[in-house]
Amino acid sequence: MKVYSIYILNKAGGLIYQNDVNAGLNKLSANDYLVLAGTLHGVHAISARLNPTINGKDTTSEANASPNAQILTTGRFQDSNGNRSGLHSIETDLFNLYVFQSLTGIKFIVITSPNPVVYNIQTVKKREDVIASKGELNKSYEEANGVFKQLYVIYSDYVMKDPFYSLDMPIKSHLFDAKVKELIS
Amino acid sequence: MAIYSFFIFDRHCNCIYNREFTHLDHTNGTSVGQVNRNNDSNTSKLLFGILYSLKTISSKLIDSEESESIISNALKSFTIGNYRIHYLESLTRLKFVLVSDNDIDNLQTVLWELYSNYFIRNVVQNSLSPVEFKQSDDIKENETSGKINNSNFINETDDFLQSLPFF
Amino acid sequence: MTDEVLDKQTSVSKSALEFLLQELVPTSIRVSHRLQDSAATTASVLADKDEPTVVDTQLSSIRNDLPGTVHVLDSALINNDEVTLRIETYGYNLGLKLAEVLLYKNNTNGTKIVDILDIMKFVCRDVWKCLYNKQMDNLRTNHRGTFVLVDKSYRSIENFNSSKGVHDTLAKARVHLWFPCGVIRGILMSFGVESYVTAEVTQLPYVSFNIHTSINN
Repeated sequence: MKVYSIYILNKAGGLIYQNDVNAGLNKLSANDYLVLAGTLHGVHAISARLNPTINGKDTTSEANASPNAQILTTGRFQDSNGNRSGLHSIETDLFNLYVFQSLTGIKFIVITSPNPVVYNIQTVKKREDVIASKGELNKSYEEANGVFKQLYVIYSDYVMKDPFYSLDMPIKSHLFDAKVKELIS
Repeated sequence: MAIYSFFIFDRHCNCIYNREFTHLDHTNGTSVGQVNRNNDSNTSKLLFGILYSLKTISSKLIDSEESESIISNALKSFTIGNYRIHYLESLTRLKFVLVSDNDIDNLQTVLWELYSNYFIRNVVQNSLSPVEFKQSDDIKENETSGKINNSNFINETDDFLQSLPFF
Repeated sequence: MTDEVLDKQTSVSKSALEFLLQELVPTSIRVSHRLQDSAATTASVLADKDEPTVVDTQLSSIRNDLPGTVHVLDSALINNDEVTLRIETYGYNLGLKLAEVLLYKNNTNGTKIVDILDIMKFVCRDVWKCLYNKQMDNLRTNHRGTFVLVDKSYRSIENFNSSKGVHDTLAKARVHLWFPCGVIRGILMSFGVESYVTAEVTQLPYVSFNIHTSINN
């Protein structure tokens, strides 16, 4: 898995950090990146609305209950990724996109190369041809989750502890840039 | 592993087919769930909105000129919460959507089969079924016209999906 | 250059031909409808003559008759004699000509047509092979001029399925069946046999064609 790009969105869906770590994606104009971030933020919000109803079952309460219970009992939140019911990932022919969210509402978006397993569109000749599950996507999600966790640590260390950084504003720290580069390579 | 529902959207953004499967009774072979109940519900509208946005994103982020083999970068699936949504769009802008759980990686072949075999045979080649589902406003009393409502299509796709090992 | 009338073009798209034939019924209904209209008001019908058809173009003054939809089949005209007769006539004309071409071709193969049963066999084998790439499944006769030709999977209607249920499907499929009826009548006519052909369908796509002729054999 090769990480193409990393975006960080603030609570309101504004793009505060954007870094094309490896080549692979199109270069967009600054405005298009903002639109993209806004769209993802919106889709994430819509997804959270859709999630409980799409199967006719209400799953919101349990999804929200487990992290809350965890915090109450252990005093700390075990999993730094608070993205329970919203948009998790997108798989396309040429890239995978993962959305992670801190409990405070900051979104970390990681765009990676697609899964190496290539499924071609073909007619189903035998039932066995339908190879549905290998759990590959869940594995790569976990892998991306690893990247997110380290990224979150770097963000806390080099952005939050930066006295010259004002919250929700674009991150312009060279130190953070360098650390992100270090993490990816 | 389970498949929860199946949607088809036409190029006018209408949900022309909606099938929901209820996984309560695995021993009973008969199909349970609803057909064409939620075509105009918020769920299908929100789903369409998400699809549309993500499709734009996926084509925007990849320069189509660099990758000659693929015309535009196609969205294959996305995950929200505990569901994975599989997506296939035909060149005629019909959108086929399957909602499954997270453990199913790829249903592209299934979607293609639903389109190339079941849809073509039972809707396109069936001259008693419309291929244009746009509703004009004055035919609200004729509720069936805006949806795929013929029994062959419903039964055959049900049988196909339920015969899949991961249904 | 003599034996190529049918072989010159060896393949026609099955789907394209089928879609074209499926248009017979709606077109016939529209023609009848327009004729009725123009009997009442001549001016209004001719107004939109040169407009190219787009997705919103009304194909006839039948309500909601838009391209890609099937509302036209719900018109009361569907069982009108004028409509079905027109469809049958198309088939009849095709049959008349087709017989000539097929016989001309088969002449070199040595097909002998002696009596009415041979003609029926000709319909079952050669005509059906030419039109539907299959043969009739069964041929029965009472030897008093009545024949029953059975096609267990008549191709043009095998995918028919109306959203209003089986009854509606069969009713609409029957109208489509006037075309092959006409073809058979045309073929027989080219042999000089006057006949009356009807089609029966009780379960898709099982179709039986009843042919009444005045010839006793």
